[in-house]
Amino acid sequence: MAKTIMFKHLDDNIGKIKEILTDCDDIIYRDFFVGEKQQYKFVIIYTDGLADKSLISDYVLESLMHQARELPPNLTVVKDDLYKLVYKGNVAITDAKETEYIEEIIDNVLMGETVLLIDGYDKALIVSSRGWPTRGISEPQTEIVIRGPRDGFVETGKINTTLIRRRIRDPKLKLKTMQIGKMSKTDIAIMYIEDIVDKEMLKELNKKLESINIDAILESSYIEQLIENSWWSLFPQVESTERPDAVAASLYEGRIAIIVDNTPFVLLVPMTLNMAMQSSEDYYDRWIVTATLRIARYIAAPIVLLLPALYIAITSFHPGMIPTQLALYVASTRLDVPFPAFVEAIIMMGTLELLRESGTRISGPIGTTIGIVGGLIIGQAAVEAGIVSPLMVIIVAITTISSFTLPNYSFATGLRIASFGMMILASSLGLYGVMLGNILILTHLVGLKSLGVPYMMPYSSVVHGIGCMKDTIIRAPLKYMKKRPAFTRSKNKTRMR
Amino acid sequence: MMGDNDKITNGQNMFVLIATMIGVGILSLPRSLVEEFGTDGWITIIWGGIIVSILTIIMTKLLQMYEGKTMVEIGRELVPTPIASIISILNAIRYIVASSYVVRIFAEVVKMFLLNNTPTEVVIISILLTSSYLARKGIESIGRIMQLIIPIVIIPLVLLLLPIMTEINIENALPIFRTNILDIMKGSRLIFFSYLGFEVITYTMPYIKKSKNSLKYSLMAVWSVTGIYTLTFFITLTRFGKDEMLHLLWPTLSLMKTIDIPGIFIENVEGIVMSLWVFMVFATIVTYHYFTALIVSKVTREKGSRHFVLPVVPIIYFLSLIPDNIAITYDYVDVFIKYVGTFTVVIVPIVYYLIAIFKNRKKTGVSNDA
Repeated sequence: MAKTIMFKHLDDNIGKIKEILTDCDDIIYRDFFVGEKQQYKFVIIYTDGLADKSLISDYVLESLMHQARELPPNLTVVKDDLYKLVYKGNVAITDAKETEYIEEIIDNVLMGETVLLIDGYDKALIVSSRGWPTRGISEPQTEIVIRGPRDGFVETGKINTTLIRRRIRDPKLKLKTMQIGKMSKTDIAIMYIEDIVDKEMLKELNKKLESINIDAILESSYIEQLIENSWWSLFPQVESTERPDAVAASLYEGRIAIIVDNTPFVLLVPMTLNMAMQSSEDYYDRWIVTATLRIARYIAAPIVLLLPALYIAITSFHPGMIPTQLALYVASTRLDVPFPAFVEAIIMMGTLELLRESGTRISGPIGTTIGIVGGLIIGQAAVEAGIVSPLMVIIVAITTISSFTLPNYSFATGLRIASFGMMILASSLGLYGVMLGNILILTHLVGLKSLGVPYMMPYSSVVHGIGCMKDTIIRAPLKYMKKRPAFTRSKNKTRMR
Repeated sequence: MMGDNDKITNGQNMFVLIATMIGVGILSLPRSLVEEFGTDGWITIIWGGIIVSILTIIMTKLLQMYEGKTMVEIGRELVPTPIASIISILNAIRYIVASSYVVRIFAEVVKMFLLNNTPTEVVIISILLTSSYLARKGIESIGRIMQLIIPIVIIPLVLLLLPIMTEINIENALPIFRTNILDIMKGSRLIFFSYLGFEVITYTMPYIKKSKNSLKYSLMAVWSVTGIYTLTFFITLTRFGKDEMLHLLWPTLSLMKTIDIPGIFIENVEGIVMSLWVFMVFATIVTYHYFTALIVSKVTREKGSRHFVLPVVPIIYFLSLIPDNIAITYDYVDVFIKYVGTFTVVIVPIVYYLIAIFKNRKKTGVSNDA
């Protein structure tokens, strides 16, 4: 972007700025005079609502208008460089910088900074005055734990990086900022621990972030979708979390965090399938408890994917597979059902997706009503009306509950959508079709990569023997997890002696 | 892209070898062994393991001489290009025939146990398209999926075999050492074909990270297969007895049918076994499929094997539908694979190895003189 150098005269500068910021009524121009004889003309520019007004009044206006009069500056100095005097001696604000370009002034004003212009100088002082109403730190809505810290990220990037910094008090924790979005100019911060992170990975991520050319980044998922290798995949290749402790733990593993301003969701790369099964509470609980829960999740995931499909396959192709008593019972309940098992399953799973969607959009007391009406009444009525069999209702319920046990929401959603494909395969090719579907999904998963890391690590490539399985289907006791996980390719492997 | 693209680990290579070796042969192997050697079949299996190990060592040595090259490129260096190309293409044809045979048997078994009313064509075309999807993704994905699939298949199968242990009758395995050693050596041809597939090491080698240690893993693959074959043979023999086995087309599947686990929800274990077996056969088909495409791409000096994957599908499809029934399938493939297989897997690597040693010696000799 071409940059306009500032003019000497204040009026020219103001004219130029007003020309660019036409019809922006929330930009405030305040002109005032400074000096014993009120001979110097100053202007401050800021955006109403984004800048902290009391800060500007107390430490910029007060010191310039009032104190400067009480302690008259040496005339010779003033003559030489009023600007320098103001910069070094009068503005009592910690963070200030200078600029010579009109565009930079405008960018900073729009970010919430206050710009101070002085007549007769082609430089402007940018005073840090960002301050707007923010949400207080509260417990995250999505990743709730019973044992563990209750603080969650908020919409302000600076607060989020602070929450992480508080957990890693080491100079090796690096924070690099950049702005992405031609118009939104969203602040993005990349955090990593220097001697743990893999440099190649960092370079790759930076390359990807720099190649983004978009007008606006409204949420971190924009970044997520733009840096993913396979954006058509059902499964997320970037982890997002609302929990600072999860981010800190990941940084210690050698992963990289991307903090996007204006959203409480922080991105973590690289991600593997295993991350979708981990919850931060896993590390705070006793290891046997965690190991059991992990196994439960690893059972729940195939249930979400396969249970409705298996119901279709078994009832319509292989009734001989289940015990005779049960097979007879299933057949007798399905006697009144006018639809084939596939249609029955699609009706129930589809209804459930609708219920889930409406429950998400409307929360609170109405949400509960939807749950009762949808779940209990429709389920009961559908069975009594003979549209679906009771077994189908049970299967749908188990599938749904299982999908809620998976800690990563978008991964669970991916599985649920894949389960519809599985149902189609099961209804056309039975158990054989289900197996083909499994192969297709496995093929897809092994082909996925997140920042060059195979998605199915460590299951698909055992690197350091059985040792890399310590934090997978089970979680080993903390005492045995002495090495960082292999997938981050960290040079610094030992985390505990 | 960064890092280890198109590279597999030694462990993944081991699983690729296991997957290629164990195909549909394991279904009928116990019967054909009993037919020829009676209760001494397991000696043949171990004898086959020894032969295959020796061949694997020769192949590995040959490939380590020419690092980063597959058998196709090595052949081009050692013998005139047309001859090398013909040999490579012959091997590709053998893979096509072998996979069409595997696909056909697979379709028959699936029809018999899972889908009685589905046409064979549908089963064949669906598994071929699925395998194309993976084969197009290349060696890296294949290596990973093998490492995932093989343990998923083998571990439950071994667990399922445990309840059978109570029903076996050790006496059925007796008497032993009745067959003449010479007969066993002659019969090694039969067992050799159950091990075919280990020669894909000649194509995977350049893609292995730290390929210096690969021999250990290849031998581990060969001996795991030997172990699996011996176990299968032993259990089927002791469970059914010599005479009953002669009447079973696929004794291994019949064995699975007899599994009865008291108190388990699934009444009929054969459904589970068949589902797992779909994985196993898929693993075999996909390796044949991929290596056919790889050989063709190497022979035509084309970069990347992706484009050759789909054109192979119709060939395998039509070849697999030619035989009228299973008996003919077994007959017609036996002849082809026996002659071509012996030629490309036994004779060619040994000849190449000898030429390579001779050439190297000449080269070092010249340099010593100078």
